[in-house]
Amino acid sequence: MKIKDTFGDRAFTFFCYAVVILVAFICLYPLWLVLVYSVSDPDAVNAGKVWLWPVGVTWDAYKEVFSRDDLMKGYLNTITQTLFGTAVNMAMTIPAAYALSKTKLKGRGFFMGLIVFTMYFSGGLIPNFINLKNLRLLNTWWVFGLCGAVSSYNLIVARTFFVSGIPHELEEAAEIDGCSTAGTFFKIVLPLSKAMLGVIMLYYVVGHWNNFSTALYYTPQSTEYWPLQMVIRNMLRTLNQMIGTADEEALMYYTRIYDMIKYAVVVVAALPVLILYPFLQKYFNKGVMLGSVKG
Amino acid sequence: MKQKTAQMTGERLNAQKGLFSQATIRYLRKNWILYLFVLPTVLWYIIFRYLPMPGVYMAFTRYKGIGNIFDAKFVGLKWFQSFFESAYAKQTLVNTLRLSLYSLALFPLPIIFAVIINEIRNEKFKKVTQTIVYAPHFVSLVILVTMLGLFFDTKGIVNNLLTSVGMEKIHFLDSDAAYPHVFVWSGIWSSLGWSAIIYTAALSSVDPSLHEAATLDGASRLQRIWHINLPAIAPTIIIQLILRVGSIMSVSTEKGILLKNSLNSGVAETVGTFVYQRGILGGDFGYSTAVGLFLNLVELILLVVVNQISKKVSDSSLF
Repeated sequence: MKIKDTFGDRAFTFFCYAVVILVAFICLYPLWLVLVYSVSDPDAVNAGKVWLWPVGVTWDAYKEVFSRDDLMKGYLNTITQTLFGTAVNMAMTIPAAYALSKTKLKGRGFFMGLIVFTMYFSGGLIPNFINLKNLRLLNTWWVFGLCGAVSSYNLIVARTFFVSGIPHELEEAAEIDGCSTAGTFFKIVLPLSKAMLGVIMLYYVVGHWNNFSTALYYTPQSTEYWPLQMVIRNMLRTLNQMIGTADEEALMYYTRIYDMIKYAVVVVAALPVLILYPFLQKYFNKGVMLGSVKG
Repeated sequence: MKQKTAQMTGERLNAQKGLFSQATIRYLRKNWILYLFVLPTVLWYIIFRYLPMPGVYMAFTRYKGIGNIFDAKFVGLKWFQSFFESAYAKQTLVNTLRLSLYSLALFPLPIIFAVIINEIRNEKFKKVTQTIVYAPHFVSLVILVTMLGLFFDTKGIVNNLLTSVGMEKIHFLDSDAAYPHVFVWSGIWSSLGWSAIIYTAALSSVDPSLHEAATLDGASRLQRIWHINLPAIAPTIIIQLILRVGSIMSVSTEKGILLKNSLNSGVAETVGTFVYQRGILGGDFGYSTAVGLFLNLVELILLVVVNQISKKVSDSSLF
């Protein structure tokens, strides 16, 4: 027997769709607008004539972006830092999470306590800064891979997955067949964990790709290591510092040039990540559930 | 024969050292690979997370950034005192609390959104809209602030819209009045969809037979949401609330640094941006460590207190 929806229920369904559509529009429209602005004639943009589709299509902004050395250098730095940083992240997170999932690991409780404690208390910005200074890592390339090599949250997600997401009979069978612990890990466990590895890798990749605070705090003088985010931020700051100064004319000039560049640079900086995440979207739910299990 | 000698030598060595028992050695020989897996990570935690901790001692010294922290002159609570006696204490704390309480007040938004999206039956529509609402989460802070600068400028699209309907232009980015709204609502834009995931995940585990039974008893959809869905996600809500209240003192420092300018700094300077300003830019290590330490301790205490309260009231707790 199918129970017919009442009028109130149908009205409520309509309301739900309306809200979801509205929220989706608010999320998407600014991003879409940036894309449209980046290929539109700047004068049409400034006159407020562009709302949905590009007006007077031009690629000047992109030409400008790709011809600027600082932006290109930043882009290259972002790519290398993301590759190197993520490799370090995965190597430091996944095997450790596997070992910590094993009850036979003596000292497991101690190691976990050591890790979880740092989620609630840290030395703080300045002690971290002094520590990196003492380690002679300030203003070096290595700081990008090392200062955030492990995320406790991701480690716990991975560990919970190894505890509950892998059939232990398989591991036992492999070990009875004479497979070493390392062999079991690489040949049996990792291939079964692709979804989890994918999500954790995405979190790390996005973290590195969008990172600007490492450069801001720890390599402020080494412009040659600056990632794209930091280069963009510096562009913004140049403008911010001019706000309120007497030189209105210079401000106008820079605003015009920079606005054009900014739309294009936002597209170039944000697009790779925005293209990547939908592929892993179906695993997000699971990742969140794994992380919410108590340590 | 040779093997036996080797074994005997080994045993004698062990007996001499007496450091590890036979059982331990056998255990390690079998499981050394697990320690190879875990020890580099533990070492990293010690070097990059625990080594800085004694550095909070700087808060009590006149450390100038040269040499050993522990050789620096001890000044007691001088830095704490000078912070609390200055106008900065009140200003930065009020600014921090203004922003964090404002966003805490909007804490129910992702829950409401999750409940609403859970009511959508069309799976394809649901999946596409979810992909869209996650997008802002993947946009970096720098890009977010760049976009704010472009859209909310006095010559930007939002002000164009306002003037076209006959309203006054609003200085969103460089006025004290607009700053909290810009800060908090841009945060909602970035995080609404993503924060809803944890609730949609919890909602997806609600037993459908509960809904069927309620429907047969004549419950409307709103009644079912109220009496079935909300109780089901209540523990998740409480855990998230503990985390939020526990981190009430930490408003995104990075975002503050990005949004702050000479015109809005009166409301934009939070404790976090102040520590950055005085410590990293100003080199005032003792003073800024003291302010940061104060912040850390308040957070830790808050977290423990809220957690205890929640344990008593609702059985849900972090630890």
